[in-house]
Amino acid sequence: MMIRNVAICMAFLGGTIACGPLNKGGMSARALETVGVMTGLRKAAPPAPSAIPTAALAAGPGNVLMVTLLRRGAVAPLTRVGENNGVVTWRTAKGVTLSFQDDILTASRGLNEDLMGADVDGVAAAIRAGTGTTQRVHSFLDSEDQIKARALTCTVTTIGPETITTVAGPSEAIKVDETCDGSALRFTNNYWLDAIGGNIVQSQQVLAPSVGFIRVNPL
Amino acid sequence: MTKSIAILTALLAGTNAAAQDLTYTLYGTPGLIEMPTAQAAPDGQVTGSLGLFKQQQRGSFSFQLTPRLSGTFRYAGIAENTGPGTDDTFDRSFDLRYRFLDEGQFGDWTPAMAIGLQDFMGTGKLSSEYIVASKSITPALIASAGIGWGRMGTQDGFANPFSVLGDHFTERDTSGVGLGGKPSFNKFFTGDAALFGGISWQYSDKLTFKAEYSSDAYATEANLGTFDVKTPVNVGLSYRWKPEVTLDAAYLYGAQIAVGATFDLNPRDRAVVSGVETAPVPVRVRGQNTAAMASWGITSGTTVSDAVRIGLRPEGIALNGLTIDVNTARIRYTNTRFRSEAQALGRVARVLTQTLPDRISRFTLEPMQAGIALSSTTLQRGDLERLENTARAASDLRAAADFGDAGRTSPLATITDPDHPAFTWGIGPYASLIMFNGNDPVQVDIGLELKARYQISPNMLIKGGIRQSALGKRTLAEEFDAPNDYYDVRTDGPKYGVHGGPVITDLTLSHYGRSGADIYSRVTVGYLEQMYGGISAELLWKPVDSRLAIGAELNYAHQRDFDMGFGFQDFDTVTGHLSAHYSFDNGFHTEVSAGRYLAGDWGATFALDREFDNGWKVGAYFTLTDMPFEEYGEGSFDKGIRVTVPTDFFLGNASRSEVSTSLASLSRDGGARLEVDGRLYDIVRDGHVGGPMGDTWGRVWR
Repeated sequence: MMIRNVAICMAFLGGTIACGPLNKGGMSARALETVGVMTGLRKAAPPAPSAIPTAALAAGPGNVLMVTLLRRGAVAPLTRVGENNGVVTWRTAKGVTLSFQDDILTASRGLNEDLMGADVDGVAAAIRAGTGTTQRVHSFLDSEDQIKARALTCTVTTIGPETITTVAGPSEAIKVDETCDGSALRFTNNYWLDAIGGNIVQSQQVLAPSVGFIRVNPL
Repeated sequence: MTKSIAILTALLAGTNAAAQDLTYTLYGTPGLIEMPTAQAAPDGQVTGSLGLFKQQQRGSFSFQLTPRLSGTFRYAGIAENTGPGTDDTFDRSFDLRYRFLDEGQFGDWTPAMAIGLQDFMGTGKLSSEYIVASKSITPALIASAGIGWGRMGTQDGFANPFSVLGDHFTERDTSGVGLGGKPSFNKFFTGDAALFGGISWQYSDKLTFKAEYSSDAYATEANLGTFDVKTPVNVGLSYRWKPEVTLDAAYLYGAQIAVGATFDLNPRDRAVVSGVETAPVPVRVRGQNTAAMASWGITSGTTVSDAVRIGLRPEGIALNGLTIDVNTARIRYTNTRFRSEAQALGRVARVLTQTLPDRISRFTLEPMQAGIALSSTTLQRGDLERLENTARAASDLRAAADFGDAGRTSPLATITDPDHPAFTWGIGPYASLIMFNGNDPVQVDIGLELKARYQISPNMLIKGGIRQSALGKRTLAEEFDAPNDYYDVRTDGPKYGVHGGPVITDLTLSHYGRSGADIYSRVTVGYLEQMYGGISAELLWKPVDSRLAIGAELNYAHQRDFDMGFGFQDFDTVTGHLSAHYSFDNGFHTEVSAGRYLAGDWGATFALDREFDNGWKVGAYFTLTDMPFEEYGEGSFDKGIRVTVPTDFFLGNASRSEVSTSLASLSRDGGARLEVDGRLYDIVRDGHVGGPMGDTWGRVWR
């Protein structure tokens, strides 16, 4: 069997194809890829957006999040994979996870710049109240594998009623903005609250400086 | 759908973000066209550059070692070395530059100022010293002026102002440098001086115009009749084609057109900051079900250890051993995917929360490489549950963890992981560069390589490689003159593998062990490298939280046949070293090794590297032995520059592979060491909290 594999491999050699476990991502493949990325001819592969599987849509309310990476326009459904102390973790089919505490983003994994963790106690309550001042700490990895924790002070203000369109169709919502300011980061998150129940039915929240914002729609 | 403008500003922590684009000289150094300025590259910047005109072709590698200090290694081709129609020559040179004053440091009027040595230890063909000041006149316009010596003191030179310090400075010693390679201290800042200066004007984001008055009259070349300076004024432009690539063109001395290209890269600026490897499983809080594992495509195993093994499989982590003792689980594993052992450890811990019964409240994690356990980290399960997704999760987990020497193997149930077979192989193309060999700057060898490895036990490995060059029978490059009393222990190197047949690159049996607390051992037997076979034995002392390591190595080396088959020649020798390694908290790493080298010479090697926590290393080394400089030959003693680049830095995907390159100025017989694969130090410290595992602890939750 191995001999036959070798023979097949040999037939392809001369191109850049390499075979065998020790050659997975071997010298030539790596070198080509590295040169491509270094010269900017090829960008490092981002996780591809996936289509909405009907199974995800069928999973029922509360079990699927639709998330759009606004900067890339990529949309993906996420399914619930765990809960730790009020923080729910969701996962895309491509292996990216997002974690939310009371609908407020606290972590991501698998993006090119992850939100490694966030302290957001009190933020959800202020959003629902439509007013208040909150303190956040967001942490990120830097280029040298060190955690940079960014402290932010945020002001929550109610903007007013807006009609938003979700998968469920158009609906009336109250828009609330949260403007955050810190020594290294400055951004405004937007939330749309259900006019009746006061739940967050849509939000746009910052993930990381080089990733930008995500739009979150619970299904 | 509501349109809302997403506003996000990442504020730069740096101060000189508004500063003008840095431009480079044809020497590959910060400056105008031929003349330096007092500008410096950002800290850590690695720059490769080419500067080409008819009379000289320069390839340079520069490194900004600290915010103020930078160095350059250059390989230059100089046309018609001894007069019109004569042969070209190739010349290696080193520069050092220190910016001792920052612009605006003592008020707005202060210019930036730098002092530099160009070609301070080569053959001296490009030797100059200078002091230069640069000042921004407007945000787009920088003016520079300086005083130069040596080459830079030849255009309208005047009596050296330093002569007041002593007669030594009046005349520059113009006698030959002999073998070169030694710092020419006696020449620094001597002889006539001359003034130079110029301006750079940044016309747009991409385009900068430059003009300068050069103080290099190309006196030697003019005397030889190989270069004719018509005017000291040079003009040129720089075009930033891509953020990391700058193209240059210039009209030199009213005589020749020059073109240049500069490639910048900063190890402190990774495009894919956190890497794009997929997410780990989240922490399972005790009391919850294990449904999350199914999302990772993991089905539960029949036994606990089976479940752990299956859970680790998607992470490229092999399970070596697992023992559960009342409420503590102790696990040994081998990470084959993640550069950071901290990241692997974090993933193992989360898989354990998913797979181990709720009564287990403590995890002891022991990463292994080469079959030896490197350290032990004990985590409380409650801390993992409490800290996940919090802003200071990494530092809090580190504070709560217990780090120590790996425990003994005895109470540990050893597991054979069927996902990682004992025998693996690979076949593929290879390409290798033979650098600075004789008068050929670079030779390229390409061909086909077969590699195989057989893991007899976790710490015993047979591995080997066979190569077939596609070039066929090669003729030898022009040979070094090595007229010394020593055996040609390295200058014979080019004779290897030129017959065109298949060659055995290496074929070894290695054994790794733990001889006691903090002590590691290695024995390697077989065909160790291209030129030598034999036995290599090593001991290393390295406590897990120590930044100091002490090693001892003893080798018996027997010279292989030139055809790189199984045969040996008559020459054999014993070499050995005592080494001390120290890793400073600021990222600098030093190493001193003293002992006996291949040619029987005794001496010591000194190395200084700047190590970035993301795996980049840039450094330099030199070796001084009792082999006299005149016996060593050109270059006087062994020295070079080395660079290690982690591949995950560019690709974003997790990978343990890295590419290392050494630019030895010349590889000769003095200070030569045996090349043995798998030396202990880098393997062992990788898993230590006083080492890369601790330095990359930020990745523990990634």
